[in-house]
Amino acid sequence: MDSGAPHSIPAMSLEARFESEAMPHLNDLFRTATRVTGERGQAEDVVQEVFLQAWRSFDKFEPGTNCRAWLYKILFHCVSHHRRKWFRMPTLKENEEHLEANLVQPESVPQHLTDQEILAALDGIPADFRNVVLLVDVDEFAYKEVAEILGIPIGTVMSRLSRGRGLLRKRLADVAHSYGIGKTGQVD
Amino acid sequence: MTNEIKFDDLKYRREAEAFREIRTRLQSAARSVELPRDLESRIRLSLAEAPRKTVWNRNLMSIAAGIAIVMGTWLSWQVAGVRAVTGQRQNFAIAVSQKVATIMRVGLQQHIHCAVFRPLGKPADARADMDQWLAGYKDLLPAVREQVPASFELLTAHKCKFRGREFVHFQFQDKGKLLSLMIVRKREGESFEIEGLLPSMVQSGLPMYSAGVQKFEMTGFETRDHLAYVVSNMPAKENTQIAAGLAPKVKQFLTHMEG
Repeated sequence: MDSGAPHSIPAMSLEARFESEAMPHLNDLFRTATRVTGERGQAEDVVQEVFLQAWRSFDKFEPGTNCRAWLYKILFHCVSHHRRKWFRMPTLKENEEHLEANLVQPESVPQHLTDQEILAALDGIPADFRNVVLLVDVDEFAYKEVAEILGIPIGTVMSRLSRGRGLLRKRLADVAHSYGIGKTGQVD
Repeated sequence: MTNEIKFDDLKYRREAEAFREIRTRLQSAARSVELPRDLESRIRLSLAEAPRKTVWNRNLMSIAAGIAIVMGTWLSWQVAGVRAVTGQRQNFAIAVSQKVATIMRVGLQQHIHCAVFRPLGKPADARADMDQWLAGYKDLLPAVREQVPASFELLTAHKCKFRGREFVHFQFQDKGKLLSLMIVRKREGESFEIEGLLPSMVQSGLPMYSAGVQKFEMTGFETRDHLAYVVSNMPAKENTQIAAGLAPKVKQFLTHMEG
């Protein structure tokens, strides 16, 4: 130890574990939080709260289990808690019928679209679908892990993923059409 | 992950295959979002201030049964863990301070190492021990306390070593604000003036030098044998004001000590 003052060894041990198991996921959590909340400032607040809650209850975390999934579970719990304060997000029930009617068949993504346009399309999907697409397709969690993180049945994860992907494709196609790429209902 | 092959559902497999290209673009786009530069340090600061629930009684009986073996393993693991964390902290402090002048890094790195990170562990010195920890500098404490706004609580005042140098370190906190006054003996050739920095202000004839990086603001000044730094996460103006208040008293104390 380089510091001249003594340290408590038990406190350091938990700190060391937190450093090595939780802190490396900061980037992933922030990126997901940005998409889930739709605003960087809110994402910063939420991620800060996630790490605070995780640190406070880190003794409950079992070494060797999936710390990343545990942190994501806390993240969505925090987002859910804060949602009421921020704004009223569209819920699945309100949009389900509309989305069901607007799903499109698989199409390829236009190459001309920028990262910002792709993210804007993702942000435009109702939260319930977007969260599942984010967790499965961006964060690469297994369906079972997503079910545990969001606290929903695995069948619901699959159906929301299918609908979310479909809606994302449609939005990407709409953006492409605005540039004159592809015909109506199709993309390049 | 292999979500696609976990289910014998042709619909989902075909859909996943068709979505592969979008997925790749989506991952690339989502990962292009950059982490705010100061978020990690803010999180560490909030963790440092947070109490943590602990469970001490867990598995007490089994620990008692195998105490000799467990203690041996435990101590080995701890030593490795402490080294790893110390390394990470030093790396963070070094990385952050790269953007300020070399002489400014001395104080900034000590502040990050000792004030920002230290509270994650058990406080190293209770206030009752401050006299002992401050040997030779305890008479400076009242003057320092007087110049720092009353809303700031004195967290600790002690001597500690970082990267081979001994610092006298006063730490204050006011809610989310963390403030350090640090004094360290100069090494040969070390001087704000010699390094070519321009003073940001002159207080009672004493040139004062300022810099900022991420959320950290720092103001330094020097006597014949010592460097002194005031570092905090407050706005530059507030940090400089406090430093300006401290500088004459600290200079007077150090000059008397230097003889």
